[in-house]
Amino acid sequence: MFDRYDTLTDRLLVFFCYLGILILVIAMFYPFWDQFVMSISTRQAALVGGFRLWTWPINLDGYRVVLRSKELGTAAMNTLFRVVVGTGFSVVITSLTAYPLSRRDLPLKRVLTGVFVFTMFFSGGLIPTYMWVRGLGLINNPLVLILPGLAAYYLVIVRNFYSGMPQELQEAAQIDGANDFTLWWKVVMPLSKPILATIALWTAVNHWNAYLDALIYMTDKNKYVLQILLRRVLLDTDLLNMGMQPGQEMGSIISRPTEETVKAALLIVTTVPILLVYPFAQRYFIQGLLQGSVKG
Amino acid sequence: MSSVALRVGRVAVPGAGRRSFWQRVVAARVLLLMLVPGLLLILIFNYGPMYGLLMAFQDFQVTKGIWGSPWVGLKHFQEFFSNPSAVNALRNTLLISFLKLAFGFPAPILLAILFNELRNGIFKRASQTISYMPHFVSWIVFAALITAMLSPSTGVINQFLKFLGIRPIYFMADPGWFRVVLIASEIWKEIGWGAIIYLAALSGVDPTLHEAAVVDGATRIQRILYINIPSLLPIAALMLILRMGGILNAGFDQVFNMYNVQVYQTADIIDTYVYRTGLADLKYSFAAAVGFFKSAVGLVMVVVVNEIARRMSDRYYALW
Amino acid sequence: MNPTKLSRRRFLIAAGSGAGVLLAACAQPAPAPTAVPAAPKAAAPTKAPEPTKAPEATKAPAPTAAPAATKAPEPTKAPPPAPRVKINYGIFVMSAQDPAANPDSAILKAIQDKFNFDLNFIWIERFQAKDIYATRFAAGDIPDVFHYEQPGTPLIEQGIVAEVPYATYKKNMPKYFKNLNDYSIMAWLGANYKGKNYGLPLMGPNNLIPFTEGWRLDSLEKVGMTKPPETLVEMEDAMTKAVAQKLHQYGVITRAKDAPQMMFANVFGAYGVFPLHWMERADKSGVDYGIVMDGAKDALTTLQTWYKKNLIHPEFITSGWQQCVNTWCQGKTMVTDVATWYRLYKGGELFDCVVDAGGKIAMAYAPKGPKGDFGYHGWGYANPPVRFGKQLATDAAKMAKIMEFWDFAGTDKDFAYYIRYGKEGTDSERDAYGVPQIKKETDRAKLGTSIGILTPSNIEVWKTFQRKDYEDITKYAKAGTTNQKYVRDLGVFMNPDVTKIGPELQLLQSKWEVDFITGAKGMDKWGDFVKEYMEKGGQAMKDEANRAYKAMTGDLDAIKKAIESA
Repeated sequence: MFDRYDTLTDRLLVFFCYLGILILVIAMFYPFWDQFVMSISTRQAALVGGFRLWTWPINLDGYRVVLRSKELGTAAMNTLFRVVVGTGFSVVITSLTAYPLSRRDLPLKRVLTGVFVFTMFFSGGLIPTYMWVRGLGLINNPLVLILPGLAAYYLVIVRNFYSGMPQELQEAAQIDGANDFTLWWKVVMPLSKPILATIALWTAVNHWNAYLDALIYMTDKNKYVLQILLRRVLLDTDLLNMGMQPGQEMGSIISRPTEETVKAALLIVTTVPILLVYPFAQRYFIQGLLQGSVKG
Repeated sequence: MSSVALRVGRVAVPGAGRRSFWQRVVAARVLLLMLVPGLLLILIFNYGPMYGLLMAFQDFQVTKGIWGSPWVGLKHFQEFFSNPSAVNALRNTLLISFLKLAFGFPAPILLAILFNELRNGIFKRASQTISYMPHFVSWIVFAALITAMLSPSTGVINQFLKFLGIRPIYFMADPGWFRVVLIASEIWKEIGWGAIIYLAALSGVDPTLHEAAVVDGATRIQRILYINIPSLLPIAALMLILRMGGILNAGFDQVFNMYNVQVYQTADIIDTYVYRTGLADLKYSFAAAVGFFKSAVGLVMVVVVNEIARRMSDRYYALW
Repeated sequence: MNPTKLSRRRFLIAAGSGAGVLLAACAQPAPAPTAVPAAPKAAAPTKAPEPTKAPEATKAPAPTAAPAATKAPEPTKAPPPAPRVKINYGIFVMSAQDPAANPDSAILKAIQDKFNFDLNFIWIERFQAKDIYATRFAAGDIPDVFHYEQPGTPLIEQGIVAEVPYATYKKNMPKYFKNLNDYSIMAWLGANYKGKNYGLPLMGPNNLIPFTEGWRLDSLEKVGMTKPPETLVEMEDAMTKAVAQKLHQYGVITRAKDAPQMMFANVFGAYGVFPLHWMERADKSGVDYGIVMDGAKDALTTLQTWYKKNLIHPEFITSGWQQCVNTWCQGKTMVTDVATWYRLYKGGELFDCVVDAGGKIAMAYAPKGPKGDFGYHGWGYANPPVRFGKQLATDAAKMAKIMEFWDFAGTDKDFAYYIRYGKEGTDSERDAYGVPQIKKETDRAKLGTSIGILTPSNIEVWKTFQRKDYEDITKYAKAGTTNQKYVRDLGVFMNPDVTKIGPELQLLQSKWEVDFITGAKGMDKWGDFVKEYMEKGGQAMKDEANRAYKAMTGDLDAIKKAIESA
């Protein structure tokens, strides 16, 4: 916990850091644990409410409802596809585009940067994008979920990161006879692991959570993503009760609002995969300095 | 590599002297080629649909399409602002956004700094993972949780107040407190996730800097102030500027799931207002106008803040 | 290196204009909005639209193919069947339990074979239907027929849906048409706009009579009552006693968070008004809006008293449906507020949670007020109508085909059962109450049950799917005096330019209501409320409502005449 050279104030600071983070962790974990316990509760236990450390007997009906959809397997595959391919694509294209924009010797740098940054603020909107995509014949094509993977927001962050890299790298590579592309691929990319890991994490989570684009662009239900199915369960009849047409029932359906246990199970199912992924990205944050780069 | 690198002069090139534009283009041809895929993507997916912005100035009719619909200029904007509830929503949006900025922006930075002082190990990794768990809880669930926590009868917070001898407060139904709840709950939800980028930045700090500082006798606090914080400034400045772009997005999911009749006065933001009144239902032009307005204000804010950053940091922290 | 003479500025201009040309060339309007290839039109003249044609006959090749069949020496080459009508049908994926039917599902095949047409179901997630449809409509992708839950006026104004003359209904679906008119002429109102019809109404008897009072019978017994209270006074008394004996924390809770306009409708009903409806004056001279009438003032006075006596759960302000259910199930309240009757019977969540925990439930009529008024409001006669895409206005063949299907499905008990529940015995069976339940083992997507759920059905057919004791259990919901006094669907006849102030007024109303109930504003401020409400648009609404009311008889007559002369 303490380093040998820590002063008294240092030790106090570290102590409070640990204490603070401990309190934070408890506060962050509490809603999660609460929902987890809810997801394995029986209906009666769930209704009692209040905070419980554990519940008995364990009832997995919530998970059964969430996971019983036969379309789940296909949807999970689709989500996996977009998370893996989409993230990989986004990271590569973002880095590829950010590097030239970070170089001082790029002609028309301000214009080109502006072209990208402008898209951060103005977009045609969902409907023109849909019409455009439709005109391109990309409706129902999974690529449409992946190709718009260049976000100006991430681009700027990565670009700034690259701007902060020392110019000596460039000199060294040019002396070795490498062109800019090789320089980027062989030197810059490996050095930017922390920032790329961050972008990868953000992008992966976005892909994991995305549902609206799949809903709008996919007409074939076999191309649906996981979140759509999960959202269907979550919003099942919540809609009925949110006063849109107050409680109006369609046809002869009298539906039950989604049980709390089911909603909780849904949350767990949606979140646990991400929690499993983060430790891999975390490696790059904790590692710190990479060996062998040019020292100032 | 360190993120506090200083600007180095231009790389020397043989055959020095002013080069013409085309010479520079040829010299940088690989770089420019590298930009082509990104440019293509942006052109296709972002600029292609941009003609949709025009819908904001029309009366878009499905049957006539964009090129056939009549032009109405600023009519939708005028319509929107002539409504006092809309103006109120705008006021609330700005206020809530700025408050969230003032408190919610520094919070993840502080957390990252705190995390950095922990020794690497299980506790650090586990607590990092746990800290961003709330980010994944949707507001539908999170709002219900908060409501339960703040319940005057059964909520933990009020139990605690009772223990202190204070009368229970109905936070969620009080217009003043509700804003506090909005800000605090968003911080709770996002602080862990927001800290990730700063952690990444801090991980890039050259450890030899710290080693040298320790040798010079610096305390942790001094090291935080003189090494960590300066390393974070560039990314923080960038994040701040970028955040200004979304200044009129005060958090629809959050507000929608948490607000109630008693707090509409202070909690109704542009997005909830438009949603609730159904003003934008199948009124494509009106919806486009609202979107356009939000984007335009965001752009202005970014330009302004970027200018300030340029002046204050001698161009270093600016976006362009 | 060859320095060329082009300057940087010229380069930029060239690039810019090149990009501009490229963009302009690409940024064309969406392809002409025809949602369906035009091929089937060729079939129109050859296929006479005769809805009474027996199913078997349609299986044979259509008349145009007949000459080909006489070309004897080609046993392997069957004559090509005439192109069938293909209908794009926008339908909801209702819930996680009712997944979209497979394209080769049994029920779909049965329908297609029976009526000899191709049905292409476009499955739309109900929870996102509004956005998905908005996007598709804008691009010109309008299904031939589709379900749509939001108000239809924007659809009509944008020209997305087709007008359907009553004559078309009468010709193509005569049985259903007759049944609908026998049920109620008012059912047409939901699809009506400026005197014309823009959709097929779906009969929804449950919507008229949804609500019932639900009491904890076990608690009533403990405070000395053997059956639920009948008047407001008794109700207050029962709750007071229960709270005093700590049987429950409070008397009642309501959904002020997500449905504030429905708060305490039973209490208002006891004073002869409904807070969100137009109440008809006794002499039929006009209408008044419920919340600004004296009855409402009395109701709020009572509610304020109740709140002071701790009979109303103070957290009703932040309670939506789920919280209200939780509170009820946890036993914190003694009586439900605006509960629907089907949730108060076995299988409904309000019933099961209490009874499973050992409690007892009693249904009751709405409480009676001092003048003997009581009752609940309903939502109207019909479910949101099925809409016809604008292209169907000129495509009689498609119109005829889909109506032929609906006419049969909506009036034939066996077929209606099949398309909803599959085969009785193998795919589904009736439970103890006579309600059909699809068996758990049945693969709904493969069978295609979600197709039938939204299909129109007449009352006779509909009744076959209800509980055996339907009449008995809905008697509480049906009874009342106040529910005879309000004008349903008046909004349909009102000018949308005036009614668009509605949501704002609603907000004002809800805020004042909550303030009165909690006592934040004393009842002496009632006059201020009425004044503010009328000034901020209430008066305009009232004038328009009265105009519409007077015109309504005329408008309704016009509809009746149009239907009769169809």
